[in-house]
Amino acid sequence: MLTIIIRTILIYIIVTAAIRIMGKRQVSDMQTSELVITFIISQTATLPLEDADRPLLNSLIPIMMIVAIELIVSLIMMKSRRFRSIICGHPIVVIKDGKIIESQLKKLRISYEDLYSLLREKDLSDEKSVQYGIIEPNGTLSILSSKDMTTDEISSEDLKDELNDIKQDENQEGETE
Amino acid sequence: MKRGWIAVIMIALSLAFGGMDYYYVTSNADIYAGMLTEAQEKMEQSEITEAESVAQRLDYRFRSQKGLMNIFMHHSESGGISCDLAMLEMYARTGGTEEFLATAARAKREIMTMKNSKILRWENIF
Repeated sequence: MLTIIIRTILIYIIVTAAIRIMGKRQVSDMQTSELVITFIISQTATLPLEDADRPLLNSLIPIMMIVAIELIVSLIMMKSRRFRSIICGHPIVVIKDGKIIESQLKKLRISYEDLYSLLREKDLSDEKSVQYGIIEPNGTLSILSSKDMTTDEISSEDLKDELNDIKQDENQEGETE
Repeated sequence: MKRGWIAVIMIALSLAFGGMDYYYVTSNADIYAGMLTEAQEKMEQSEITEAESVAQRLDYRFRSQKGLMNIFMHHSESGGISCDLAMLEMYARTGGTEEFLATAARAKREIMTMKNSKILRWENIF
């Protein structure tokens, strides 16, 4: 029993250090990969607590490798937008100039009701007063409601690319009509 | 960049611990397998005293390494091998030739299975 107690203390210290090294995030703000890694670390950490037969190194080494990989991936994501887009995805505009873009909702597999629910969380009853409604890579909805904001005024490269894509799609639809 | 260095240190530590585990277990596994083969040959040639001596050396060696073995292996694995080696000595002393050979074969298989589980192979990865 004393073994389990000491292991518990060690695992607590190791996991706390691992999460601290990876950086502070609330669960709701985590990217998908960060959430998955948190689950994997927690599952791996409990194995030597459940089974005293199992060596502690069998959990320690995977935890260290996962933290190292996560740090390297986050460093690469900082340097490379493309890599970040592959790992985390990119923001998707679902509302533009007060209108819902249905094709984008279908891409995200979000229903109208889900979108209205997200709008209500932002104290908005509908999409009409929204210039841009953006589903972020972590699944939250961001609202830009500044009137007459142009694409050039937006600093985010991801969002600029997304708006340019939508503009191109709209131009193509205009041409076919 | 500080986090980059932390990542490098984590990878280095993982490789160090993993490397120690691999080297310690596989090198000792080869030694134990060799000694077990020697014990089996002695017993097959009815050199019972020599077989008992080898069995004693095996048991003593494993007991002296049990601490580190328990760090790198599942305790049930090291416990099973330890039991087999203890039985070997008894069988040699009491003249149980068949039991001695069977236990030696089992211990050898357990040790080689343990070694093979540490080696980088596709079946171990998947």
